[in-house]
Amino acid sequence: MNDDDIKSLWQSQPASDYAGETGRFQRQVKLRDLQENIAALLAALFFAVYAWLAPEPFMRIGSGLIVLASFNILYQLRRHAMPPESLALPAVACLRMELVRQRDLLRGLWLWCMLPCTPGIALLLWGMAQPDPSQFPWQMVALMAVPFIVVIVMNHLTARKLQARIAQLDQA
Amino acid sequence: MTTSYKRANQADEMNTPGKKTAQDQLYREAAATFGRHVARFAAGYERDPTRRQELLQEVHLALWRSFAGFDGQCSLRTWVYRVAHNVGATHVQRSMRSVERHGVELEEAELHADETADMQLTDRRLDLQRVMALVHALRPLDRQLMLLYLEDLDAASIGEITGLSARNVATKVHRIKSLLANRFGERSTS
Repeated sequence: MNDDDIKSLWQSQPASDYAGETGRFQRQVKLRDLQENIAALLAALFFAVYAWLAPEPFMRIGSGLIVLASFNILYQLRRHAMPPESLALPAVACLRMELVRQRDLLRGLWLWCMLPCTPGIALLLWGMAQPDPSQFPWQMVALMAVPFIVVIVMNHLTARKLQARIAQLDQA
Repeated sequence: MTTSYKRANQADEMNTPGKKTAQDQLYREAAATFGRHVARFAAGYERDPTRRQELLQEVHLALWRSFAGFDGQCSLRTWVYRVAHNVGATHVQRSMRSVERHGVELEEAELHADETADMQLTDRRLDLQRVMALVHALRPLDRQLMLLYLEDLDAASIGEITGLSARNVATKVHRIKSLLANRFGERSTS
């Protein structure tokens, strides 16, 4: 077989002439948005109910702040999302853009995700210790701090790997 | 500026929710003109027919979404091929992560070209399977080049779609040709 035979063979393969219905696309996009945001929405709902029912003012304020932090996470995720038209960039440029996006998200996770949650969690725990502040649950704080730190370190390591791949792409 | 883009812009001006109209119109035009090309492209990124259909739907969804930002800076064809590749490449990366497979580069595929060329396959379906196997063994960027070459696009178009320099495209196309010649050249059909 020569080149033309191979090309003709490739082009003659049975290929379905698919065309999607645009209304269905819109519904799919909405459903995906909901799925992607479901964790933050559930957290917001849970702490909103808690803010309403909690017996102690600090706990209510803390829960309210966590609700706000959840919405901030949703906003930041949306802000850092790849625009759909970025898929129409040449392959290397598109790959680079995605790597940069992931790197920045991971590097900044503590800033846009963990830090905004901290005041709310601190107030909630402080409220749990009332009326006797000496009962402040330091053990729980330590338990929560460990995964926070581990996640931050892991994210930084992954971000460094991504940066190495970006540098590789820039050199090529 | 492409004709479809001009038409889409006119729709924007005539209709307030025209953005959607323009987006839908561009998508319909792309699906009608390049539907089969996109389907073949999807075949180049997924072997399994069921998953291929899912990938094809994913590409069409990505195309439709992307047309919201179509600026007419490149042709509709270039746009469609780029989106199809980028969605396909993401699909491949995800599949590789799940089954720990790794694609090979053109150079490596060249080394193994002769090892499987001894099979005397005469049936077109089997030939196509062999082409497909070769395509699926390549890493996404090389695979994109191979697919565009098989679609019979010229070097300039391949360069525009991939973003590679003309020299780089020429080198890669040369390698693709010799790879195909090594693997399929022994059984002349003419």
